[in-house]
Amino acid sequence: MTQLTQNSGLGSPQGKTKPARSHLVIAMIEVRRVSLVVLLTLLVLLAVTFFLGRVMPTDPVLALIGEQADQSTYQTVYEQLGLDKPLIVQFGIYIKDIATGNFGIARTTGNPVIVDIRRVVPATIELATLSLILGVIAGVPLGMIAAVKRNSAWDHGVRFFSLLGHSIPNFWLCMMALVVFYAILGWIGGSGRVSIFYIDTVDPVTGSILIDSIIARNWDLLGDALRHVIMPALILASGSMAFISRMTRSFMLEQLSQEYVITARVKGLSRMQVVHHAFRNIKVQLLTIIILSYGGLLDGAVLTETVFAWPGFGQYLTAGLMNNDMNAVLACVLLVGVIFVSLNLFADALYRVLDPRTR
Amino acid sequence: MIVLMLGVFGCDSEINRSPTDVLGIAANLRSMMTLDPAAISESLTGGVMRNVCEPLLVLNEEDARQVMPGIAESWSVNEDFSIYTFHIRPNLAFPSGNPVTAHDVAWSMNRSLQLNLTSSKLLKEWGFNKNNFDDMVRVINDLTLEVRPPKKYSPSLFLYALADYRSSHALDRIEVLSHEIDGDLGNGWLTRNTACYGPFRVHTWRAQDVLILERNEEWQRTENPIRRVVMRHIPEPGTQRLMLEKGDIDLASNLEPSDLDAIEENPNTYLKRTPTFSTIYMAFNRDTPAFADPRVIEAMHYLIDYEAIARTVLNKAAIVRESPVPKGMFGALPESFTPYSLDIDKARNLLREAGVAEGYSFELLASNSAPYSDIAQHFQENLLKAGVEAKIITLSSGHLFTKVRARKFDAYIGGYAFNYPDANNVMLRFGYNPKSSEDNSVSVAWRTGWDPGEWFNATVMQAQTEPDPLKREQLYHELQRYHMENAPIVFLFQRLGVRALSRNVESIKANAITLSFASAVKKP
Repeated sequence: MTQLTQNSGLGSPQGKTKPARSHLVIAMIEVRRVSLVVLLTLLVLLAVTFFLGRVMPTDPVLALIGEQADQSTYQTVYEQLGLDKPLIVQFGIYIKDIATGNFGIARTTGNPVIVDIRRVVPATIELATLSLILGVIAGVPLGMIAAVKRNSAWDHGVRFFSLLGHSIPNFWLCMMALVVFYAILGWIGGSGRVSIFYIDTVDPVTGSILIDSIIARNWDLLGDALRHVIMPALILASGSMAFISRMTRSFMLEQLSQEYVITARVKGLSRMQVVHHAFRNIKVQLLTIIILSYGGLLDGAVLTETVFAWPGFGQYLTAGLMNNDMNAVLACVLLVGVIFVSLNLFADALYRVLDPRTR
Repeated sequence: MIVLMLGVFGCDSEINRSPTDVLGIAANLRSMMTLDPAAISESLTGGVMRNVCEPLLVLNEEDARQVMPGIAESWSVNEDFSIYTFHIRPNLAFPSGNPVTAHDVAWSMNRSLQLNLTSSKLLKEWGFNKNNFDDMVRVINDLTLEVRPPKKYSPSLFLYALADYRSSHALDRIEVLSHEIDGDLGNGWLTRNTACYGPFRVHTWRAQDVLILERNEEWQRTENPIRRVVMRHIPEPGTQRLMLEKGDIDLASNLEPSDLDAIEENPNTYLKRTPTFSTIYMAFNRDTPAFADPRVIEAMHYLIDYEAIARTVLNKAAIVRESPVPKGMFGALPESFTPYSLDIDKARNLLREAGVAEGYSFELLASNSAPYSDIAQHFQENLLKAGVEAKIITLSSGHLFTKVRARKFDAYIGGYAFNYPDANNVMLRFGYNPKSSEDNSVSVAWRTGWDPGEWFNATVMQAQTEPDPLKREQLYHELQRYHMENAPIVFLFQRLGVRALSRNVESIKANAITLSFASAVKKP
């Protein structure tokens, strides 16, 4: 790309503006291409979810009216839900609505889906962000130690715990954590974001109880919220920590076997200096996997949210699925798609910024 | 790191201890979808709304058979049972400050019929409809309402029709209509809000998160020591149990039967068991050739180990109930009336007599929630001993409803919660089926394709209008005996309402239908 721009500018009286214009054109083409791919991906995602939802054997009308309603009520609700129209027409109406920002009403809550999503996403972001911070703080150093002390007891220990983090079912881990740290030791709060008698004691500002309690200077609430968030965050972090430590180890091993490391050692650099050099070279890859694991944390917390009764995105999606609330499910699927696509694009962009070779 | 984090934050504090005027409840709120009394279809929301929306008449908090004054402080019936006159308590006010009047009650009942959502069935089955409503329900003045039922029902029966929050509540029509959108009679707004008169009002509801009720200071009927009820969505029964044992909640409502022994053994917790009007039954489709023969159905009665299932699978969360009408309802047969017990030899002989070949198999549908699939497995084992194979198919309850209402099943195990304590309720749902070819999918008799015959249908109708209670009771006894011998429906158990409570709660009243939050007394 750089070569092309330089050539196109040669011998031209407007040599300084043309390369810039070409840059712009290429960037625009790239943006348009990416946008098209993103839109197409999301449309296919929506179509698959929509049609799968409609062919599911559970009747959405019965999910709403229950067992005791008669046939005339059934018919009323059937028409209210628009199910009397052909499937393709229903899909067309849905796409037209979401193009105007109308994601419909969630049948399970009676709220516009967008209002629900705004309510549940901050809870999940709070949990996932804390988990990611814990996962990175623990995972990166552990991965580096394992790489530097390859095949030592440290390395085996880190690999063992990494395997453990991946293998133990979260559901079981959550229950055990509640039994030991909540019920027996009393070190943590129980389920939910705060104790039952602290609910709604401050006005929501950001949606994050940790931040809202600081804004309100309600330190009791902050302490209570920390006691509640710490265990689900640690359990979620165990998975991302395992992944990050394993990947850090692998990236570091690759760097430590490079010739520049050998040269550095021959030149007499200390081990710490060598490791510092190697780490600088893995930071781009590391950032990418950290960003991707954040996406996994945002939508992969379903079981943790269920056991800890964390009123987040995972629980909302599960309830939507259980109650056949397709408006809620479709919006959630779309959001997950957007999160993943955005994080991938963000990772791509970071690559370009941090690694000159990819420009 | 875990030790470090817990070292920083970890210390058991007293902040979670429940205040004496707040009732903390853990429940699975996933099925709570609307607060509109005209649209509520499931029992959890029903339990809450009975504490929020008071009907004209209420059922006694401990004995549901007794009808008590609700919004109406008194009522009278004329001699031929054609006119009921209700006198509304004076000076009642909605949370908005608007007065509660007879106009509100009549408007709310009519609204339910106009919307034609789930609750409309509770008025339609007594003969009310959109067209005749104005003739049947008349507002005499602000505090007097006259109801002329389309049939001269026995008063002891008809009063139950107006003792349900879904059929005779009073909505604040001025408030509700101010939120009407596109002629929805406020249905959209009432999905998330309430505008009723009752012991509590809804303060906060965040679906799948928390429901907070606040005491209605204007409520007059009894003392209410509970200022706030906080009901939190805790879907996992194990978590509910831990929270209860820690004293972080006062009541756990969705424990598994396997948790109950531990709750009873714990000195800080106890169980309150109340018989409910929920039944567990099996239904067999007569369109499946084998089940058209009554001998096969009789054999099925003998293939259930009632006592063993009640003891193990249900772990005292239900009692054996072989007759259709649950214990505690008007018209129930004596508790000792249990003509069936496990007898595999007898069942095998009946099956052979009916021509069911060794190795015959059929599909048995069961909900994937407890305890249905476990009961199905017990039954399956006994069937095998009698030479019949049941292929168990577990489904979500929504999927199960879809299949059984479409009559696409051989057999299924289901549950049903009755609305009022009279055998008429049971007979309409499980027996009465005048035209079995017409779509009446709410009736279990219709689903099974059972035609009970003219005598049965006529007797159900006759019992509705029979004024003599003794005679009425006798009619229901006869109907039940006939049902047990002929219907392709096998009644198994009557569920108990099992509430796991913290010792912080000294007492709380419950009847077969609901739990009264306002009756809770907590330790000072």
